[in-house]
Amino acid sequence: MTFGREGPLSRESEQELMQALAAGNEDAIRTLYSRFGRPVYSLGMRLLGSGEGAEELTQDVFLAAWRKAARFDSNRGRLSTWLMAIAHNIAIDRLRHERGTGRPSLVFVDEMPEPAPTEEEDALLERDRARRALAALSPAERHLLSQAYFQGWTAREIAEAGGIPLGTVKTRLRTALIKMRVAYAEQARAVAGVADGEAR
Amino acid sequence: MTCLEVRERMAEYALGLLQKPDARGIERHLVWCAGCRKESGELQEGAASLGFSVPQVEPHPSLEWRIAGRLTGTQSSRKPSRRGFRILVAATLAAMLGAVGAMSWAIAERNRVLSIEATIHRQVDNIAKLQELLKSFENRQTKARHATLIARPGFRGASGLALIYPAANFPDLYLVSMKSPDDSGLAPYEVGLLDKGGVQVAGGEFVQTTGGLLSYEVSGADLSKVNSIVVVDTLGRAVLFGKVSSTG
Repeated sequence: MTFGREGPLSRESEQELMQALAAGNEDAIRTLYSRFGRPVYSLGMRLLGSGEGAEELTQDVFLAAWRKAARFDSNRGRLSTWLMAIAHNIAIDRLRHERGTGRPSLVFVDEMPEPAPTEEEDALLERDRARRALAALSPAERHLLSQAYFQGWTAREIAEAGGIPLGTVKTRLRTALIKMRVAYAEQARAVAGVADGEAR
Repeated sequence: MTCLEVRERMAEYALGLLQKPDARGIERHLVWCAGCRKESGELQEGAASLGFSVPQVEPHPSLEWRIAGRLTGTQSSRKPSRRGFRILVAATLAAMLGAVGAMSWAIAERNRVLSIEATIHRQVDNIAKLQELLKSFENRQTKARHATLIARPGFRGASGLALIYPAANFPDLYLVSMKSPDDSGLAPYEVGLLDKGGVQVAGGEFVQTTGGLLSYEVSGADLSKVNSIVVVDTLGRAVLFGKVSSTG
């Protein structure tokens, strides 16, 4: 069995890919890496701030994905969501462990050069959609999600630092995540609409 | 856990902020509750899209085969006859890791609480020191070092200015003001004061003032070492950069 390394995967294909991964199919490992290796590595760079940390994270994420592959259920969510959640959880655990009492260092990431328009890849299109969705949030919502997602602050820590009731922080986090999801889905629909228009 | 309890913590769960026992409690609930599972999936999609927004960086080409090798290598050691032994080893390791993880978590939690308290105290202390420092300028010949912050490619319209006041007998002070890019940067912004080797000496978030975005700190660090200044957006992209003048 071979898997396409580009273009969107149907839920059935995602399930088959993970079944093959669980069975130790090397083609499945390489397909998963070619689709998600760079986004996972990039998330590691943003959260952990070093190439070494990002590489270690990427290896651990793919190992975890292989171990959990049999439990993946495409009816419960997309493969990209599942894999990024694994990556984020491992990275945040590491960040908390390493940071201790020290003040978090500034992390800055040099973005890779944009490819020529004809070579646009799914991952870069996905990145642009996500950025537009993030830009659609209010500055306060972005600040809140940035503290939680990129810095790993718990709701209680955000509440204490900002002098905001804990319940309010939880509600705002939920609202911001829902808005992010809706905005992201709208961006995806808009792109699909443009593609349909061009096809006609 | 009830649906109400689960939904109250679902955003934290989606963002990976819960301690492992709390997360496990939610996961057990999600196995049988379709309603909560649906909501949890939606929130996780929102969280995952944040992960896709970060600057894309190409990993080293060798990473793919190292991962493939690690996974296929792991599989080759999975011989059926050793299954029982493997489970025992895995269970022992999991128990050990769990114990170490719980201890690390407790230490990390305590440290984080101390860190927040320290931040609040530092801010209060900053204001007092700032007042003291401003008074002291009347009595000394302090020359500010400065940096003009230039927009990095892709961040048109952004600009900034940094002033650093090193002092022999007083805490050092820095002030950085910035104008946001026209349409590309994503607030919140953060400033880093870097030494020659690119190591961060000081830095912090910007606050919105009537005059624009401002970041300042009365720092215990030796700001005479600062060589350059970088401002990043929430995705970690360098928006502004500037070299600090040597004197006056």
